[in-house]
Amino acid sequence: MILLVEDDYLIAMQVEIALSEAGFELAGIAASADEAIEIAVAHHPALAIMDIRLAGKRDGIDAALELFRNHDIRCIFATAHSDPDTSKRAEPAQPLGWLQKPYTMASLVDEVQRALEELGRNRTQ
Amino acid sequence: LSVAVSHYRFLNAGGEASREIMDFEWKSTSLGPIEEWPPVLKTTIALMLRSTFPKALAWGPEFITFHNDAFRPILGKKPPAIGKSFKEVWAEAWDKIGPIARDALAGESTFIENFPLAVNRDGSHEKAYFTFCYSPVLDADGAILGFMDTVVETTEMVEAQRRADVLNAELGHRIRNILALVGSIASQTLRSSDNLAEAESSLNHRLRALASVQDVLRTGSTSDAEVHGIVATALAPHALQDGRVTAEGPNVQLPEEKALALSLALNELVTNAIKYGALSNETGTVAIAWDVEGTEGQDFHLLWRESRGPAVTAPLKAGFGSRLIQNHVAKAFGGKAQITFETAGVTYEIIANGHETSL
Repeated sequence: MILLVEDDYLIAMQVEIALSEAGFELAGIAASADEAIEIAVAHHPALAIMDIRLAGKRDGIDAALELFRNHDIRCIFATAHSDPDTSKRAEPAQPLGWLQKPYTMASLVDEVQRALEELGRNRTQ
Repeated sequence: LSVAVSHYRFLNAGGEASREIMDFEWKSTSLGPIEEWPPVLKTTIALMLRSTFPKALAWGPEFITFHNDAFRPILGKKPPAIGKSFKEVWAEAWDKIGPIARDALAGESTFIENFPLAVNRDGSHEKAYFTFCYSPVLDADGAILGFMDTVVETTEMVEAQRRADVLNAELGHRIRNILALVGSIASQTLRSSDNLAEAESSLNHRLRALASVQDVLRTGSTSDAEVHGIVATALAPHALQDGRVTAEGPNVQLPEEKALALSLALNELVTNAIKYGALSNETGTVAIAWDVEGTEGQDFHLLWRESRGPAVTAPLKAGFGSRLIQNHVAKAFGGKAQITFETAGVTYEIIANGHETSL
């Protein structure tokens, strides 16, 4: 199961369609860091697709750090942010990958597949 | 008398700074009285005083300071610097300046642009930027006797550039987000259209609605738009007859996300009204009314009411357009957004934050 953290409804809708057509199950769509944690606690997704600018006080990096530290869930960051400071702040959450907006749905699905394989390899090691 | 006066002639026409040099008690310094100064010092001071570029001269192993009038703003409210050690004048930044000064005394010029220094010019520390050159001052035999500091303060320029960079980054971020949104709208319009011609027309209208908001958005570190502007630009392309559409409400600011959502919704509604609703005959009208509480439009209520149009029948399936004006708008406003297909006319309502009193 995959957790989608995206506060733009239209983009979330498109990602949801693309992921379900590719055969992935969605744990839920969160628009804020707090919602992301709630869904993660309830459904234990394998990974999260994380936007950085979110509704609410905490941003996607805050959410990713908490997901990693407290729930062992890693993220693919999907965001318009591309500056080095942002990636540095995100480093401790051990990102599985970065997708820069606007990204194609095909590249998103590829990235999710690759990340799941990476997680699978780490588990068997 | 004329002999005595000639000792000071190099200070003529040197402005306020030359009077300060003249009045300073030099006898008690290692330089001794002005009459005994070497010609190279006088020549260098004369050169400095007549320059309109800010210049300071640090002389001898003690870095005794001279400066011209143009240099005064760089000192700010520091105590008078003439006759003091350059090291003492700039004590707060000497860890950075010192090595450059020593290089100059070793014969090496240094030119640095927008050099950041924490300086204390009015009793508090501030970060300031300087473009400057420290160059050694030599006598006729090539001995290095001091250094000249030619300096332009660039704090305002650096800060303006920094603000421009922040704005640029914000703009870049917004462009990427908008393109992602356009991608999402395009792919979902294509999926939900029956044929390419319909898809093309819907897509064009939706893109135009997105584009029109850009005209009324004010961009700073955050962006917002006035409701009047959003409504006017959403209706403008349709060249509606006077009186067919009325719009009434306070001219409040909506943040970007809400402004985009409202513009998309109005586009869907007006396109639908022209095709099937109150604007598809000669007599129908649309009344748009809104009200708002809260400074950021969080308690926004808008009602779109069509009347005197052809009898309305609800569409058989909810397409992308209806998801756009209901789910997307509801999410953007953090409330409810609902379209109702009553026989007498379509109504559409946005109620943000549980503000449910009707207008």
